[in-house]
Order: sequence, then C-alpha cells, then structure tokens
Amino acid sequence: MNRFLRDPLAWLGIVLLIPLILGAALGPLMADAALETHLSARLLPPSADHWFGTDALGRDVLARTLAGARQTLGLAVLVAGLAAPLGLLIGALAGTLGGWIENVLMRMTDIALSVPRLILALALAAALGPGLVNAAIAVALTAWPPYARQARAETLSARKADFIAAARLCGASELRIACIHVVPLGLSSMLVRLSLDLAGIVLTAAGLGFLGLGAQPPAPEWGAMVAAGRTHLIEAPWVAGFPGLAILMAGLGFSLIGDALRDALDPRAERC
Amino acid sequence: MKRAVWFPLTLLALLAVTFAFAKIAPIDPLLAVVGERANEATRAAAAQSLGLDQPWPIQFLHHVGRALSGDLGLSTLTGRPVLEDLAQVFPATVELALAATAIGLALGLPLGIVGAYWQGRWPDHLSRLIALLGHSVPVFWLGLMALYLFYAALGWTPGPGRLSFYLEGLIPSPTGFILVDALLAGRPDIGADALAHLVLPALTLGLFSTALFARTSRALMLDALTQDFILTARAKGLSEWRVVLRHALGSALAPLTTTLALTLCSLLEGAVLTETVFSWPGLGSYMTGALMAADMAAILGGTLLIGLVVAGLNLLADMMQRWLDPRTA
Repeated sequence: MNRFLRDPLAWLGIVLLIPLILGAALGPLMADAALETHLSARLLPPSADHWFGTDALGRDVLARTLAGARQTLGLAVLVAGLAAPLGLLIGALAGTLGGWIENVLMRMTDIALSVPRLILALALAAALGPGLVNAAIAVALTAWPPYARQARAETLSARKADFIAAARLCGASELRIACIHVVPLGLSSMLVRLSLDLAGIVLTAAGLGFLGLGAQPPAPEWGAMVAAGRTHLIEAPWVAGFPGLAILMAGLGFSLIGDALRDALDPRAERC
Repeated sequence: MKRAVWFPLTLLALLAVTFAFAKIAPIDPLLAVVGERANEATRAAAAQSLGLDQPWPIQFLHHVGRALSGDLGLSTLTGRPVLEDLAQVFPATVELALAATAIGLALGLPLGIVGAYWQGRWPDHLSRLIALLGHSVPVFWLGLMALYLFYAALGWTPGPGRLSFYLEGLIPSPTGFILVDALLAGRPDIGADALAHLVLPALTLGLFSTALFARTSRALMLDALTQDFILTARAKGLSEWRVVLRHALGSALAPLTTTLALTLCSLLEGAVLTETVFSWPGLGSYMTGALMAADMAAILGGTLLIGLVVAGLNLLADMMQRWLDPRTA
C-alpha cells in the first residue's frame, strides 16, 4: 500500500475521480436541473450562471454532466458485477475440472478474446435494442474473457499447492476447494484487472452512448451528450466538450489508479 | 500449426455469434419481404422460400453455407449485397488504420524506450501519463474537439470527409485507396487533398495506437534491459545508445509484432467511432449508418469482416513472431 501512496500518478488518479464520485453522490439533487428545459436560454456560453453553458434545449450542461456521473458509474459497476464473476466462474471451473471441459471453456474464451469488444457490443446492442441495461449486458458479455483466463491461470498454480492437498485429505469437495480455497487467492489480481478494466468499460459504454445505443434521451448520459453536441459543435463547442472531458477524467482516473495498484500489488504481472 | 486449426474454428464461432444475434434481434425478417399487410399464407410461403420454416440447426448450416460462398445478404439500407458494400468501404478504413499505426510506431516506440531507460524518473512518468491518456481518451470526443480547433477555429485542416466534394469522382478507383488511385491517375493535387483530409482522423486514432505502443515497448524494454546480454554488451564497452537501440530493442522486436497486430485490431474498433465523427466513408460509418436503419444484415456482415480480419492478423503475427524468434516455435 505504501508503494501505491508514493506513486504521484496514483494521486492524480484519485484527484480526477473525486468530482465523479461527488457528482454521483449529488446526482439526485441535480436531476431536476439536468432535465429542465429553457428554450429562451439555448446554447448559452459558459458564464457565472451556467458554468458549463447550456445545451440546445437550454438545459444546464454542468448539472447534466454531474448527473451523468451516476449513469456512468452505475453502468461501470453493473458491468464489473456481471463480467468479473462470470469470468471468475468460467476460469475457476476450467482450472478445477480440467479435461475436455477445460478445453472447451478456454477455447471459447480465446475466441471471445479475439473479437474486438466495441464491435461485438455494438452488434449485440443493436440486436437487443437500445437502453442502459442492454448496453450493460452487451459490454459485460464482451468483457469476461480476460477474467476467465486469469482465474484459470491462478487456479492451475494453486491446484498443486500443499494446502490444497491438505484440504483434499480432510475430505473437502472439489466445489469447496474451488470456492473457499482457490478463489480468494485470485482476488487481489482480479481487483487489479478490474480497476484497469474500468477505464475500458467506461469508454466502451460511452462509445455505445455516442452511437445512440446507451441510455436514451433525455437521460443525461455522457456519450449521448457528446453526440447531441455534435450538431452545434461550431457555434457551441461546450455542449460536446464538457461531457467528453468528464469521460476522459473518469477513464484516466481509473487507468491511473489501476496502473498504480498493479505496480504495488502485483509487481511481476505482465505490464501491457 | 495449432494456430492454423484455430482460424476456421474462430470463424465458425463468429458465424454462430452473428447467427444468434440475428435470431434475438426483434426485427421481423419477413416484414421487409412481404410487407405488413400480407396474410398468413403469403408469410408462410415467404418463410418457406427463405428457409425460415426449417429447424434452427438447419438454418444455421444454411447461414454458414451462404457466408462461406460470400453471400452476406442484402442491405436494407443500400439495397445492394452486403459483400459489395463492404468491398467498397473497407479500403477507406484500412487507409485510416495504417496511417494511425504509422503514427503510433513513430511516437509510441521512442516514448516506451525513453520511459524504460529512465524508469521511475520524470521521463518515465511523462511516458506513462501520455500512454494512459491515449488509452483513456474517448476518441469520438477527441475527434470532435480536433475538428473544432483545427478546422473551425484555426482553419488549418480541411473539414470532415475523405476528399473535397469538388474533387470527388474525378478519377477511377481501381484500388479503393485514394492516395494510390491519385498516383495511378497522375493527379497529385487529388492525392494532396486526400492526404490533408487524412491528417486529423489519423492523428486522433494515432494517439490511441501511440499509447498502445508506448505501453508495450516500455514493458518489453524494461524486461530486456535487465538481461545478462545487456551487461555483456556494456562490459564490452559498447556505446550506451548502441546497447539500448541495438541489443535491448533488438530482443524486443519479435514480441512487438504481436503488438502491431493487436494495435491494428483495436484500430479497426476505434475506426468505427472516429469515422462517424469525421464522416469518413469507411466500414465504421457504414456500420453506424446501418445501426440507425436497423439493417441487421449490414451490421452482422461488418462484424464478420472485422472478426475475420482480426483472426487473420493474429495468425499472421503469430507466424511472424515464430519466424523472428525461433525460441517461441
């Protein structure tokens, strides 16, 4: 942990995420301001009244950007909560059971890993129809393979450890060994991978939002807000600019923390 | 050898996935054929002629057979076979991806080397920060901001698109790559215009590939610099830059080919968003256009093409690495 706290880039990451967390916490207070339209106050430039200006419907861009933090964080948590356990389960099963089941599961993982994530998510989101939950499912179903790979590798190395042999001698079932003894060993590296992955999840989700496949208007979703600002880019660059800056801050914050966490917890992990 | 078996398996899995997506999509494939006022008998006849009355394993076999013979269906958006559409738009995407890769190599490699050499000091922090920035920036937003700054505000670059409208369609397009076509037709002015249009999207996407190359080359160089042969090279009294560039970098080159393939793959993905922003008439614009029109045949055809290219590139990178580094064979 000391090593983490001494890394200047880790601190930069923490600082970048503070507004995001504040925004998500204060989101409900902003909900009205984020949706309220004032057609007389369209596309106002940033000023003391509207720090980030207003959009094409006269809504306050600052309020919408802050309220959007909730959508993005919510989606990231949803995806992480779906993808990491799914990958962990598949990887741990493959590692514990071995044999042809392992072969089939890992080949599936390899193939899923080799297809670009956004493309697959895009096709799936197109098939499921637009919406926040569908977007989360689409991203999650493309995000699990790295977890499965890692979980299998950890399981394989743990399987030969003495304490596993001891547990087996005590009569523990394979399932008990997998869940109680093997899975906790992989948790720290799983955490590192998750924090590194969050940036990618936020970006993929924002990309889907930009293409109109995420949360539907008028919900304040950053990707969709950038897309909406595109039509007024030349006369009102702030409409697309600030939500995009928020995506960048979230992505960079997660990457920096993930990177520093990996250096601190898992120095031997491959660094790419 | 193992990889060569992989390729058809991956292809089969891709076909299975696209088939499943087409099945779960809430789009009635008969609607486009018979219209909404058709009676049950007409619908049943159409279903039979399209093979939709068969059990789904049979339908899947048909799906595979059609895809292997190059029949990806008709695009409801353009009314043409999807394969023809893809052949028309793909060169533009390849052009963009190659330009971005070149930028990534030119900037990312030096950044990674510098970062590894001064590990833990400010050049390293700078290199890591740039790498993470390129990794975390939403490309669609970066593209928009670049357009605003360099096109709208400063007027340094031309606007969106691949060519100025008054130059479009003036030369034949045998290869689909405008730069090559312009040279073949002896029109350097068109080539220059195309190049000017390429700069902004390529730089936007290039930041992303720069990040990937910087990250990987830093890791590989960190590893290489601690090896015994570097100590030997130094003990022999070789100059420092020779040690770093020839001995350390030399050993990192083989694994870098894998990164090159990976980068090209992620660039295809980034191209979908970048092309939308820059109205670049490539695969990405085609797929997002199809998305808006709920044109599943076009979306799945594009997915299949990208999956195929990615699998092919991975295979190629694997063979390259074995050839460059016999130890991995």
